[in-house]
Amino acid sequence: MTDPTQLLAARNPVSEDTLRDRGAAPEGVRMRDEIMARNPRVARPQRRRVHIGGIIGGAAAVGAAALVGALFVMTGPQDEPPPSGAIPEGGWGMEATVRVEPSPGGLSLEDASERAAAIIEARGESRGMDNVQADVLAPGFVRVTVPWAQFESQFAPLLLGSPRVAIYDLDRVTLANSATDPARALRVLRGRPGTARSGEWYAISGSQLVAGPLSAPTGGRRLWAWVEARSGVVAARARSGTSFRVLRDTPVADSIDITSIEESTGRIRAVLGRSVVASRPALVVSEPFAIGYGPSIVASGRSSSRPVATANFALGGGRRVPEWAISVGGLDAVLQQASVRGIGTPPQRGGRRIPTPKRLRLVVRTGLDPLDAPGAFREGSVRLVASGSGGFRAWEFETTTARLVASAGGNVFAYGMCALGPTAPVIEKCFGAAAFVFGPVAPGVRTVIVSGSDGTRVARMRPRNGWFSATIPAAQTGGGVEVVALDASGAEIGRR
Amino acid sequence: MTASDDPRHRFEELWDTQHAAVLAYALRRTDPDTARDVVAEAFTAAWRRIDDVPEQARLWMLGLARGALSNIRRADRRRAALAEQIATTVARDGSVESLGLAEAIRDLSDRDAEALLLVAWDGLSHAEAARVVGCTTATFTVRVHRARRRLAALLGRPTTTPVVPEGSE
Repeated sequence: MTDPTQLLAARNPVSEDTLRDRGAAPEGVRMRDEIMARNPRVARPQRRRVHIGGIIGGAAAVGAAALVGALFVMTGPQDEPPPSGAIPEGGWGMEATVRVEPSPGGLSLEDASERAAAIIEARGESRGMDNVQADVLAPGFVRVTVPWAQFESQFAPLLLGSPRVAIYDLDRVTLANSATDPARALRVLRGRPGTARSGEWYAISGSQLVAGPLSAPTGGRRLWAWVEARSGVVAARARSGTSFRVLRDTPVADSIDITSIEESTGRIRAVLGRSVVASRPALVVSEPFAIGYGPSIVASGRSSSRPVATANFALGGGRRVPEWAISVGGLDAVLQQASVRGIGTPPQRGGRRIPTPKRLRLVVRTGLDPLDAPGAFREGSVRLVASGSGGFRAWEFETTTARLVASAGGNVFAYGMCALGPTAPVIEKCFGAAAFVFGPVAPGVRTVIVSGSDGTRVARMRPRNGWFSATIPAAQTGGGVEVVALDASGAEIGRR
Repeated sequence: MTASDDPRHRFEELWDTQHAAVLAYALRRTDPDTARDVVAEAFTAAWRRIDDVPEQARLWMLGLARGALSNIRRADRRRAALAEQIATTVARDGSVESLGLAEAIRDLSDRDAEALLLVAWDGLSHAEAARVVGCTTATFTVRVHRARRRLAALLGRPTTTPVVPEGSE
């Protein structure tokens, strides 16, 4: 992948070396001498005398500036956000005004606002919301436009604080190890007895988010585990294989700044703002960007020295740390959503509108993690969107804060495998009960191809009512299942 | 008065060491006649403030050149936008790739184009470029990152792969 700056650099029209002699040429010397001859120099400024009038005038000016500032604050974006500059891509979405409050003694309001805008866009990208646009309205205010967003909760991941580095002493805090005791490790992960249930859940992985479908070897067979968000533990996945550790969430130190990062392909070396004493092996966890709810960890590594002053991180799958993040560092500011409004009208999805199934209502009312569905069931919103063999059915519905999909198959009723949008609605992918994969597609999608985690084709189908669905063989389940959307000409127009 | 105290001597030294850099900066952004005016205006400002020349004279001079170019552009509203001017320069070799790049640059803001140019053509680090445009390094880094990403988007290819765990759906 070519950096566009390199393309630009290759077309540099002027080499400085070719101009070396121009200043000493007769024309150059003539210009130089004329400049000196025709223009008076400005004397170095003397220390100014203080005049009372100047003080009063200065105070008045400051007062006027403060008044203007106060007027802006009183009538500014937090009360009535200015209208959107443009309809977001896709024709509908949401627009929020975000207030930026830099940490005391930290960045200027201007710099904090610029940085917040960049970080919000980066977070959008990292969540697959790559059309999020953040612009500085005025110092302290950023406007965020999220195409295809329908709910305020969809802004939440963009407005998290900016976490830094935490260091765990593996010898002291390991609760379970899947290599030696996979069943216990899974029990811990699932929040069964022995694990704290409050606070935040951490999921660490070089390649897979643990707070999702997890497969782990258990006595020669693969166990399909849905790991719910629980807390007080950290799941640290090994770089290779499927083993992982579950740690008590008690870092030796956290909130450590990264002062500099050197990156080569797949590897980064971070210099920490302060060194921490920890016995080896230590786990150093970095969260350059908050992804998802709570601190989702995107890189991990072991300390390279003792005490820990630097950390070597491995980034799998060709991932890179965006260049700006290396020198910009954390946000160092608090972001608050000052206002939000919808733009345009979301299109109706396919499927058949049905009365709310009793069990679905029960699950929504009683069984949901508030992070997934923080809101009340929206009556009349249920649509049966997919059905298949083995009694598989999938419903799309809304709460007051999210658009969700539930599915059932056989004796299993699974919920919350898919919170829809805000992403480009060409095709979306949900996993359902009885090893089904399904999701909504845009009207232009004529064919959907499903490939298993090993790359083999599982299914090719024509969507119905704006949705596709396919059964995944047990051996093909996992995070690697891929769906590709083709248009009428057979060209790929979307991939998940 | 020693040679180093003599303003004329210091100006001549500044001219000798920085003329090529300032002229190159201007020629990368405008036509030769205007570039000459930019050089004259930047060095005139430098002569007037010869006592204020900092140690990193090159960055200071590029900052003066940048201001001079802005003044000239403001005075002549018919002048093409900086991004348009850059696009024209880039498209000069007529290759398909250059024409595509030029097309993308035309859609950038002048600020984005300037940020990219300071790095790609003037060879400045982010810290140096930040001094030229008068902002913090962090702000410039954000600016150039966003500019690069916008250009990449216009060219139809991303600059960075998101750092995100897989299987998060």
